[in-house]
Amino acid sequence: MNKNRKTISRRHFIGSSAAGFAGVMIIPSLSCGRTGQGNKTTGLIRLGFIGLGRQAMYLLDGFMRIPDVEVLAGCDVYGIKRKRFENRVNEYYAGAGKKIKAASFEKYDDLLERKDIDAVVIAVPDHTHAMISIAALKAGKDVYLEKPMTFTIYEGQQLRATVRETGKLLGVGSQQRSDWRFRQAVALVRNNRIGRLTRITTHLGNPGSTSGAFINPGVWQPVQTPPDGLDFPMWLGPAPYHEYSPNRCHFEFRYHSDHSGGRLTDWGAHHNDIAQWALGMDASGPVKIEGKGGFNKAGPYDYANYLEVHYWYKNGVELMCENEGGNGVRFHGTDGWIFVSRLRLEASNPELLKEPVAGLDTSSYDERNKREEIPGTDEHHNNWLDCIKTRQRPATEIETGHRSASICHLGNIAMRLGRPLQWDPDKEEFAGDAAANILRDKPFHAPWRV
Amino acid sequence: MPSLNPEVAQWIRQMGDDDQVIAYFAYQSLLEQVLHTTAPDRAEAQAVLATALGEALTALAASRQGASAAQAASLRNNSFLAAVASQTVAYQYPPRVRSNLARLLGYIPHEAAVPYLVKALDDLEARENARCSLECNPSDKATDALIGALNLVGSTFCVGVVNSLAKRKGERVSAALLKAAEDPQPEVRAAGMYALADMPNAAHDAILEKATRVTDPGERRQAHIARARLAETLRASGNKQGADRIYKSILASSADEPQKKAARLALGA
Repeated sequence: MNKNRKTISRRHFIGSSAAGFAGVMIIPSLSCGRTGQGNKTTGLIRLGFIGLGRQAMYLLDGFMRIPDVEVLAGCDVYGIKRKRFENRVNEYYAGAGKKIKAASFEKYDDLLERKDIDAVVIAVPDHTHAMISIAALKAGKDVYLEKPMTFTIYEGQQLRATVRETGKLLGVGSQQRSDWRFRQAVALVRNNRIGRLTRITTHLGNPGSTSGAFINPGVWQPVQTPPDGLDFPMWLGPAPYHEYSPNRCHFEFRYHSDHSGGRLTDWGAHHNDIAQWALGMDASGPVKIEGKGGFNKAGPYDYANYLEVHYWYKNGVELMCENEGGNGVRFHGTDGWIFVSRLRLEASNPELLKEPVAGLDTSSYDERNKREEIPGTDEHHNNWLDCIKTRQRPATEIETGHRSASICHLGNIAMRLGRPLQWDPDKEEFAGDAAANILRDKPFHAPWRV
Repeated sequence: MPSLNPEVAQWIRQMGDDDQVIAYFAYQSLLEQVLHTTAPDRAEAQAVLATALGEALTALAASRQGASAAQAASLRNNSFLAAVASQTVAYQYPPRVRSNLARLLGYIPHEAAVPYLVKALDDLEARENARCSLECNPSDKATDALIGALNLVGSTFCVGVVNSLAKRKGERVSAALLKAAEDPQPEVRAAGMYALADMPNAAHDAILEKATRVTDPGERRQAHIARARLAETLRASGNKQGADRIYKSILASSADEPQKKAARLALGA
């Protein structure tokens, strides 16, 4: 065990975090304070919401509470959700004594035309993440995009290019990066407090459970006429044609491979993101991938309902991602281990958890754990808003978001193909496997394009 | 020559089953079969499977629709309808099966899939999936097929073809996209401009710059956006000089603020 109990300085942590960025990365702020210069004219950041489902309402409740934010408009292809959004925003602002009346749109282009909106929060099904984000960036809006950042590796590359060419800012909703438990765990790992890192396991089972070996394959529903007020063709957008059934839309889109990447891009986007961070691989990725997935051919969900993916990095560390073992990330070092989840932070040597990390408050582990119920969300939102004002890169910026999503896509590709794959993280292509390279992308149905 | 899994024919049939569970199971079984055949050392097996799927995709019914005696009689007095009926193709498999077959062919990187996908471009119910699968196929034959598909009818379909070509490289592709950027249909023109912007060729700026001077404000805006994208494409490919020339031109133009801001940032970097 390393007995050298030096305080982990924020500067040191930031410095070590920067190792993978080839010197061009502006390091994301770990502070949750609002230190921005403010909007030149009003000091306000005026937001639009694209996608008004369950996750968007959760985000809306968080953003509306922030004093220098005004939510002006929302957009969804489903009328019921637009109405819910209007009611919620108008009631909130009426209660707060503000004269704000939210507008709502069916088409995102109409919302993006609004010149009075500075930035948009995008929480739509994965298969339209990149397309809508690119449109928003081109319309001059900064973007907060739900995880996983994109539906495919190709889309991530396109989105990255658009961020660079527009000079706009994109933050990804991987809020675990702003949660003190994950930050402390990563700081400890990056500072070798468990010795040399040898292995990471990410567990994608249901939170609070110890298993998760078999993920629900869904229940077939008869094909139906879409409900009044839902523009289902618009919901499908660039995806292949499907007839409507309720469990294709709403929360369950994530279990259909034409709209999402299943458990790997759902929970995997969170935990594999933390693994990449601890590895210092925010701008890179593994060099070899091998995956086993159990696909339920009786449907209706067509993602792997059992998964085990192994990733090997150039530095020799192995990342193993599975749906067993509960939910969280376990770091294995030569001198011990650390486990972190949204519920707890544990170490083989509990004394490690008492080490102060600059940038985190100094109250005890128990006090902090009791106090914080929603992991890192407020800090994550504030970080993005700060960055809109300061033009610094947010905690989870475009390259990080792209590479973290890529890890998940690589795992899905490896599981689907069922053979070992060699990956070049610089060129972002598979070596000598044309079929695997095809799966880096999914064609868009016309007239849509990324 | 590798033999074909005898279950393939059954799965193809079952994809058309009225029971959605059976149809789904058949598609997933075929998908698994296809993906496991795509290993780099299994080119012959890929060709065999592509041929089997392609034959089913394009198979015609035993009798042509409209050619039955009753229909022929009813159409006898209308030469136009009779001509249309005689041209109507009746496929062996229903649209859902053909669409799925076209899609499955997209996972096979072998050029044996291409002739069938080209044929399916004439099948109005399967052609969008066929176009998407040609986009996936890495062969030169697929590139040729997509270039040829630009001449097919339907502006939305042609936009899809342009978008597919945008992901490919080469002089023939460039030439086809330059033509698309001057297509009579505005949506095809816009798709052509965006596609040209993704290719690291500074010469493409001429046509984009020209488009910033058209009368339609929407088209002008699309052209400015495409120029900013082209500049970034050039910069990313190492042609900083070419990129800077476009960025400076954007700053001096009537482009919207987002593009001008991008230009300022790029020139300041």
